[in-house]
Order: sequence, then structure tokens, then C-alpha cells
Amino acid sequence: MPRPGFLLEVESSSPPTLFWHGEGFRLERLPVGSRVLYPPEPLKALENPRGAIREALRSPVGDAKPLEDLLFADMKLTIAFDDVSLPLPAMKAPDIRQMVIEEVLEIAARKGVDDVVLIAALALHRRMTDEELRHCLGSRVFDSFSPHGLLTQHDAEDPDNLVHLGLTSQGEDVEINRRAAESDLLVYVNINLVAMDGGHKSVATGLASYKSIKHHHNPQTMVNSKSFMDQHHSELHSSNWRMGRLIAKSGVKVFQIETTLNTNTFPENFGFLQKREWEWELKDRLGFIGASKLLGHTPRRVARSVFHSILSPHAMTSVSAGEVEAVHEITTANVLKQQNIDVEGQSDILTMGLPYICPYNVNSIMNPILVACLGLGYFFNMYRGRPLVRQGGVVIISHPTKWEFHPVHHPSYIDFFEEVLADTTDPVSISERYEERYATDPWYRHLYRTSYAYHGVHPFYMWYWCAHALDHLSQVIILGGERRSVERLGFSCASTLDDALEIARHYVGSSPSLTHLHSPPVLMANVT
Amino acid sequence: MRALVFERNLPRYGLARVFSSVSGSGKAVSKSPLSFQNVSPPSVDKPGWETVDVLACGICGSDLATVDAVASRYFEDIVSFPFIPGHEIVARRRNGSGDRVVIESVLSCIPRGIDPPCKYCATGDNGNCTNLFLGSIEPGLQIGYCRSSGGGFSESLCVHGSQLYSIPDDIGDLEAVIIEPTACSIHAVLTGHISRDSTVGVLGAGTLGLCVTAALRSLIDPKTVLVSAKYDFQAGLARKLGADVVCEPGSLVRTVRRLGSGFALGSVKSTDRFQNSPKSGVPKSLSEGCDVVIDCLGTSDSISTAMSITRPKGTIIMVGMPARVSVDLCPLWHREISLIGSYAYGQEDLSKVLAPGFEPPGSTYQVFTQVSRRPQPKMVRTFDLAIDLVRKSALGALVSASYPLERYIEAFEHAGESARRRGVKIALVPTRAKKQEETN
Amino acid sequence: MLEEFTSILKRRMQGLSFPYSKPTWPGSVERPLKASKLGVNYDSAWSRRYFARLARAGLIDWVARPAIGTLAPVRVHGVDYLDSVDGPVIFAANHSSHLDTVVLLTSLPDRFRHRCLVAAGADYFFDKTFKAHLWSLATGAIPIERNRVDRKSANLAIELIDQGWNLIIFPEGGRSPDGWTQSFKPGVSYLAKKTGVPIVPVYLHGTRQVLPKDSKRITHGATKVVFGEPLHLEPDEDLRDFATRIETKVYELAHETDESWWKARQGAARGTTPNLNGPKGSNWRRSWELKARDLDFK
Repeated sequence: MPRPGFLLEVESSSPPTLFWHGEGFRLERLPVGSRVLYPPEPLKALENPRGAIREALRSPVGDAKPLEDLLFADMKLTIAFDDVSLPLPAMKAPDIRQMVIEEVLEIAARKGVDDVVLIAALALHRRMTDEELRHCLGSRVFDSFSPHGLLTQHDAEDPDNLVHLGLTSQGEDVEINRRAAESDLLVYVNINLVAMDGGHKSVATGLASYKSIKHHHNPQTMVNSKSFMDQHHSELHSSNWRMGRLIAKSGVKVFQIETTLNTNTFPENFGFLQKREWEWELKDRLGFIGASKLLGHTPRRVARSVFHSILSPHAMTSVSAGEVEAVHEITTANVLKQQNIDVEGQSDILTMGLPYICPYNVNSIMNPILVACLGLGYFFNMYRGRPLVRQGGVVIISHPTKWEFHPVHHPSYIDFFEEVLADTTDPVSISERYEERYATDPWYRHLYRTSYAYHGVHPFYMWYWCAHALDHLSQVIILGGERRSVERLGFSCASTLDDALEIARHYVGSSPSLTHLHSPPVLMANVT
Repeated sequence: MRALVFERNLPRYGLARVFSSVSGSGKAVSKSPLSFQNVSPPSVDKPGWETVDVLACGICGSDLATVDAVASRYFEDIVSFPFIPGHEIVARRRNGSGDRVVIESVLSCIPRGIDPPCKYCATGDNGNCTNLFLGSIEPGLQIGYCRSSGGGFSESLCVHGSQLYSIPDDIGDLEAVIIEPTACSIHAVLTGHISRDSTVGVLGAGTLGLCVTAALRSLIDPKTVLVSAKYDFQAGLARKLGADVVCEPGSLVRTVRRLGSGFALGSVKSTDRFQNSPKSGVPKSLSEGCDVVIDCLGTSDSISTAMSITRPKGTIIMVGMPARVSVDLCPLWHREISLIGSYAYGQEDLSKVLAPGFEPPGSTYQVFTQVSRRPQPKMVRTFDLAIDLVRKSALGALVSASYPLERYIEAFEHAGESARRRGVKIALVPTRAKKQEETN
Repeated sequence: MLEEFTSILKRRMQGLSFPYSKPTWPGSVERPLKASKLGVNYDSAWSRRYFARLARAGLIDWVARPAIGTLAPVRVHGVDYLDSVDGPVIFAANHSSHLDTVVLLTSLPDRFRHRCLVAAGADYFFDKTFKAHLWSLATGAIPIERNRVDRKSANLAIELIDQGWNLIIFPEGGRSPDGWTQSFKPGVSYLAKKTGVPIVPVYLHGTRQVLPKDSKRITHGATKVVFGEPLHLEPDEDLRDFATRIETKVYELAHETDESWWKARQGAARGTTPNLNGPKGSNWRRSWELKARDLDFK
């Protein structure tokens, strides 16, 4: 029986606390009285995932017919799926998408559907490599579709393959992939890792153009999404829902298949990452010592490739299919069932250790902008109710934050870091003064469309992701970060936790309360 | 008289070359053919020539190249051994007036007493003089490479009256050292290739780079001046002197692309997972680029970089003294780039000064010979512009340190790594001159 | 010297902090009752893998045998009885010293020796991880619950015998407290019933003198191992009766050792085999009597 999340109050008898630190770890002694949030233990996986998928397709939820009844011989069927940014880390084969799509195609084959196209719902993310596509779809699907050009990746900059469906009540453009919009049925295959994934966001963002996405990916929306992980208080969510409803009204028939994962994030030999420190057995301690010593003597690029080759033993905990909103309600409940932990009261300081990976650097480098985004965008926003840290509080992030970028995946990030952040770190003025130039830069567009680059505007979104946190906090301190890149981000740099706390005291008073997010695996705090 | 003398000594020359390549620029002075000696003062008994006392003399990049033994062999026939190097000279006249002067060190037809002068000297472009090995004195392109005249790294030397420019009182002895390199920079800026809407890239932020930046801003005022500076303090100085954008050399290509919004070509399509070697992130060249690039370094790398950031039909101006370089000229050919040199100074066409509201300075040009080569109307001596610019932009601050002549080894070492030590221009000061100053 | 070393090591270890030492347990967190991995729950499977067996064979043949040979030279009788059995057997012996196991193990013929396990008290030999590891490696010990009926440990023994392992068992359920033999418990008959293998009675003589129960010092002395004829459980025999039969057989072997084979056969036929349970009565009298025997047969 997996145990629920746990809130430890640090006392003198508590062992040191594990912090992720990029491609490494730190053990830190938190001040007595600090709170440490441990995520709930992984839920039990579905015993027969394929059976569960089949069942979900047979008996959909909401106003939807079984998939079998929606398919007919001469139809245009499009299957869209989440891209390489999910799940994190990549899961051991078979990937959920592979299982779901195979089941869908099985039915489609039975019903004699000939015109089938697969689309990776990239939004403005980088294209996936063939290897990544093969991993996520499995060889059977890949080899049946890729050679015939039927395995495509959404291109948000291809004017010929986008169609404008209209404006929402708030005047937001809705422009999505033409093939998806003009199909008789669009099946969307989703993986829900965190509460903001899925729902209408799948199609309304995943298959949309820049013109459409910019309506909700902007500083105003982000500041008003408190948090964007909580759909009832997320402006991002509302905007996507408006768009999703418009898409439905325009006659695009979406059959949504959503899945949730348990938090069994790291394989056996990294077991210590998912355990509470006082329960570390000899094996875990040896694992930790071995890993940290080895990593200390490994060149970073080697360490990086070791980490990025980790395949996670994630397992599916639920699958549901049918009408988008009904499906998503079930999904969100299941995500929360796995991730929720109740917390009473906010604290002055929130500490967190960031790992080597975030949604935007799978098989890539976690550059300083992504560090900010993961810490202030994702981890900070893992709350419902109120943030874990009070207004005017301080966040302490542990990550090496090296001035390193992946030149192929993140070309516009380099320029953003060199030019934009050198000028200002204010999301609003950044969006006013620079966004358009980057978004329309022909070189970035070219790289996004033909190479493996994130869209030119993507670093801006990463920074907007932080907007709510930047607005809420009085200071961000990066523990163990590289000084010049941390300075460029506009944050403070500390080499030890004591120094970091010393700096923090300057902002929050002399005896601050502290909460540590013992994550990943991910958790979602319900703060009352 | 005590002076630094550079002799023709092939073994020592070879030794210096080996040592400097191993231990770094300026570190091989003690092995080089340069030595501190007691020599008889030079005297040139020719009309118009006089002896002046050195107040200070800057160590130029070409002086460093000479002692590092990496200078081009091109100069072999237009120098005369043994010579006293040093051509960024500030001196005091002995004629009773006690005037402080800077010296336009090119030894052209006029100081050489050649009449009629070559066609370049006849029009005032004495930097291009073709008679550098003729006339009444030994061969030598400049003071500092000629046996007869002596050079700046000594207590006194002989100069021709036509080479002298009085220094205004508000420029100190040491500060005035920067006038000569400023003149070189101005000469490069006023080649006529830069217009007011140009984007100009300046490679390097040492003495030349910074002087070029200042000259660009005050004489042309182009749309964008981009300077690549290796060190933070250089970046700060460049900004102060009028650079719009300053970047590190590593991000130069990207920065230029941002300014022009073109495409960057290079190894950016590979899907190698973690290409984080420092070079892999640098695009090779740009589809668009700077209109003009002023290369103040003159190395293989800087010339290649210059080509990769110059737009098609653009211009590269070489100010830094190059030697033998190894460069792929294909982009030059394909993009029809002009690569032009800029040596020393002479006179400048005022119509090429484009900065609005520019007031031409009065002349401090001294002519004491029968051959009067006063500038034509609308023409001005480069040195006059330089003195004016040094005053206006306070370029004297770029002289970072001075050493007494006998501590020349330290001085050259410092000059060899001046940027790393947060310095720009290093000068040598003869002890006697110093003493005199103290007694004054 | 050794003590000094261990104390230094201990001090060193104490200076180490987490993760080099065990984590401390926060006071506010309740310690869950862990299912024990010791006692009857100890998983000794590893000690029956190839490398452990190889190590054990080396220990028995190259360490234990020479050691026993010098400290307590063994004379072995009745090995010929074993020739008649193929397949696994259970050796049931009297038990008065820790040395018994080693003496018996080293005296077994090859084909038994290297495929032999020892039933050892779960509460005594498997109460610490270190001890459990050591005994299962050195003697192939498996944990047996000796104070109460425990299906788990019995099942393990049965399963292993079925797999072809021989088993040494001391049916007294522990070393004799005073030197006199205790009555045999019927557990051994239960194993015989469940597995159908023969029981080989074994009398061990002299081990008590070499290493008495409460002593840590080994005295030099000769020992004897006497194997008896394998016994089978009769179809309708009561388990207790069978246990008694084995016990009696062991006494016959003792009698044989003390006097002669002929005397022992006579005694057996007449039912006058002297038992080794000692006289009833106060403790000193039992010890007195035992001492007399020891002197007689030295």
C-alpha cells in the first residue's frame, strides 16, 4: 500500500535532506523547524494496461460514442500525440503512446480506415528525432507510417498547413493544424504528468500556431494563473478552454485519450531518490555515495548523457477516453490522487533542488533559462490554494546553472540570454520590446521548421512561465550556481545553504520559516 | 645616452621567436636582440633636423611583434640596423621654446630631403611614401626603425621639423602617448567606406580598438558600432567611448546576426546530443552582416571572423599589423568583400568626416623646411584630428602604466599581457626625463 | 591488538556522518515495525548457490578438517552403513557441544559432506545478521524453530531434502545443559514422515570434553563419530515412538562405544541398553554421575 505524501518537521535528530543539483546531488542540513514535503509513494500500476486501454476505447466517458463506432472506411483519421517533453524522464518501452496508438490503429484497421496520419503535437517545441519517435511510438507504428510520410510533426510556421477557425469571445485567434482540423476524427493521445497537461490544451496548444498560442502564453496570463497547475484558478486554462470549445464548435471532432502515470520515476539503482532519507538502507547509501563520487569525477557532458539515458519505470495508473472535458476531469482527479499533499500555511522561504531535466531539455542541455523555468515556472507553481511561499518570500534553488546551451535545440535561447536578459529581466518589458523580433526571426523559423530547434519565441515563454513567481517573490537565490549566469538571470548566487539563508534573511526577517520541496518525483501541494 | 637598441642578431632573433611562442608575448625580451645600452646620441646634420628629448614613448603592438620576433619579414629592406625602436613618442624641443611635441614618425620624402617628393608625399599622404629607403638618411619606414634618427625608447632622438605637432597644455606627457595610435585609428576610420547608416564591427578592444571606437563615434557617428571585447573592463571602456553593442568574441557572430536578422550558416543541424564543446555553438558565417569590419588584431582568426561577419560587398579594414596569416579566402571571393589596409596617417579629407556638428580643429602642424606641405583646403593632418579627439574623448586615460626605461623587460611583459592585467597602453619613460620633471 | 584495532575502527566509524553512517531517525516519525529478516525468516538461499558451496567446501576441507585433526582427532565408525543408502538422509545425533556440527560435518563421507545442511536454532544462530550470514556460509545452516511448531522452517527443511540435500539435525533441540542427553523431540520423525528419507543415528563422543558448553577454550582430546544403521519410519508408527527409537539407537551406539559391539547388541536384545539421560534427582548428583562416566571412559 503506497504511503501518502508526508510532511516532515526537521528536528535535530533528522538526517540531512537530499537536494537534486543538476547532474548531481547535495545533502543539506535544513534548519530545525523547517518543513520537508515528501511526495506520495507511487500508486499501484494498472495490471493490464492494454486491457484497460481497450476498455476505455470501448466505453468512453462524456458525450462520446465508442471509438469503434466513430470509425468508418472512407474517413480521414488523424492521431495526434504528445511530444518528447512527456513523460520525464522518458519511460521504459513500451511507451504509453505506443500502446494506445497501437490499440487505436488496431480498431482502425479492422474498420478499414485507409487515410490515417499521425501528428506529433509539438506546438512550438523542437521536432523529434527519428530515434525519439521510434521510442515513443514503437517500431511497429514507426515503420508502418514514417516511410510513407504519414508520420508528421506539427509545424506551427507552415502557412499551408494551418487553418484559422475563428476568434473566441475574448478575441483570441484559434489557428490549428489543417490536417487535424479537416479530419473526420482527431484522436489525441495524451500523457498527463502534471495537472496542467491535457484537456483542451492538448489540441488548442499542441496543434496551434504562434498566432494562436501567443494569446495565452504571455506575462499577463501567467501572472493571473495562480497557479497554472490549478485549473480552477488558471487563466492559461481558461483561455485554452475557450479555444477548445471554439474548436469543437467549428466541427472538429476530437476523441481524447488521456493517461496518468504513477511517480515511480527512477529505476532501482537510483532508488534513494524516491526514499525518505531516514529510511535509506545500506544499498541506498552506497548508491548515493557511489553516484555522487562518480559524478564528481565525470565530465559534465558524460554525466549528462548518463542521466539522459535513464529510462523511467513509470507505469500507467489510469486511462480514459471520450469527450475532452469529461475525460480531463477524471484525469485531473487521478493526477491529484497520485500527487496531492495537504500543507498548512505558507512559509518565508521555499527551497528546491532541480534535476538535470525539464520538459524542454530531453536529450539536451538544461540551460540557465530552463533552470529558472523549472524552478519558478514548474516547481513554484506546484500548488493549489496559495503558493508554498508567502508573498515577498524567497525561493532557493539548487542547481549548477552553467552558462551552457544546446546550439541545435536552443539557438534562440542563446541570443535571449546574451541580448534580452542582459537588458532587462522584466517579463512585461521583455515581451513588449523583444518578443516580436524573436518570434518572426527568419533564421529561428528556419531552424524550428527544418532542424531540431525550439521556436524563436520559446525562451520568452520560459521566462513568462516565471512571471507569477517573479511577481510574488522578493528574491531568488541559486545555490551552487555559476555566478555570471545567475547574475544574468537577475538572481543571487550562494555557494552554501548557510550563505543562501543569510541572503534570504535580508528579505524575510531574521527567523524565517522554510519549506523544502523534496521533488522529483513530482508532488502537488494543497496549501491551506 | 642610454637607449634600447635592436641589433641584427639572427641567433637571438630565433631564440626570441621560440621563447615568445612558448611563454607568451612580451616574455622573451631578455632573449631577443633588444638590449639596454649606452650609445652615442644620434645626430642628423641635415636641414630641418633637430634633436628632441624624449618625455615618454608608448609600446606599440608592432614593437611587441619586433621583440617577439614575429614581425613580418616584409620590413627587412625598409629598416636599418641597429635601430632604437619606439615611435609613439612624446618629446620636448631643445630650441629654447621647450615646446612639448608629438612626432609623426613616418620618414617620408620631406624628412629625407627628397625634392621633388614622390607623388604621395606631394599630396600630403606621406604614410604612403615610396622613398622610404632613399635620401639623406638610412632606410627606415618610421622613426623607430631607422638607424640615423634614433627612436623613442631612449633619452633623445633626431627628428625633422615637419614631423612635429605641439601638444596643448591640457594633455599630459603620458597621456599624449595615445595621440599616435589615435591618428592611426582615425586614418582607418576615414577611408571613406563607412557611411552614417553603416553597421560597423570593431574586432578587438585594445588600444587600437578603443581608439577606433572613439574615432567612429565622433568622426562618422554610424548607426551601430559593435565592438568585440575579451575583457569586461574593455567592454566598459568601449561603451564609454561610444560603442552601441559590446560582446565577447565568442558570441560575436550571433550578436552580428541579431543586428542584421539574417541567417547563420554552420554546423547547427546536427542532432548530436550534447555538443557542448565551446566551438560547436558558434555559427560559421552569416548571410547578412556588418557593412564594415575594422580588424584591430590582424591575426588569422580575426581575419576569418571578419570575413564571416561582413555582408556581401562589405569592407574589411585592417588596422592591426598582420604578419603571415593562414586564412580561407573563399568567403572573400564569394561574397565580394573588399579587404583593405590602413597604415599610419597623413592627411584626411574633411568631406569624409560625416558626424554632424563636427568642428575641424586648428592646425598644430609645424613646418620648418622649404618644402611646405600645408594641407589643401578641406584637408586636415591626421595628427591634428588625433590631438583634437584625444582631448575631446579623454583618450589619455587609456595609458595605463609607465615604466622607467631601464625596467624595459617588465614593461614589455606588462604590454604583452596588458589586457589581462586590465591595462591598455603601456609607456616607457627615460629616467633623465623623469628627473627633470621632478626638479621642475 | 585486535581489540585496539576494532576500537580504532569503531571510533572512526562514529566520526562518519550520513550517508557514510546510518541515517538518524526523526523523532516525530513513527518507526514502522519491520518484518524481521532474521530468525526463521532469514533467507539462506544464497548459501546454497554455487559460489557459497564452493567457499564452504573449501572451509570444511581446508580449514575445519585440519583444525579438527589437530585439536580433536576423530575416529569414525560405521561408515559402511551409509553405503547402503542412496539419496538424501537425515543425520540425527546427540548434542552436547558446538563442536558437534563441525566434527560431524568433517567426518561425513564426501558424497554427503558437500551436500549437507545443518538445522540450526533460529533463535540462537539467526538472531543477528552477521551471525546468520556466517553460519549459513560456514556450515550451510538453515533456521529451525526449536521452541514451538513452525510450519515455515519445517517446510523449508522438507523442500531442501526433497531437492536432494542431506540434513544434520540434533533432535534434542539444543545442546545438553548438563552433559546428559535429553530426550529426542519428534520433529525429526515429522521430517522423516514428510520426506520418506531414512534417519541415520549418530553418536558423537568426546566433543563435550574438548569444548564444554560454557567454556570458550578448546581442550585437546580425541573424539569419536559412530554412525548407526539407517532407520525408516514404519508405516503405522507414532512419531514420538519413532523419535524414541532413534534415541535408543543412539544409546546403543554409545553403549557400543563404551563397551563393545557385542555387549551393545546384547543390551539391545535384552532391552538393557543404558540410556544417557542420567539419574533422576538433584543437579549435583547428575553431574557427579557424569563425572564418574567421564573418568571411566577417558
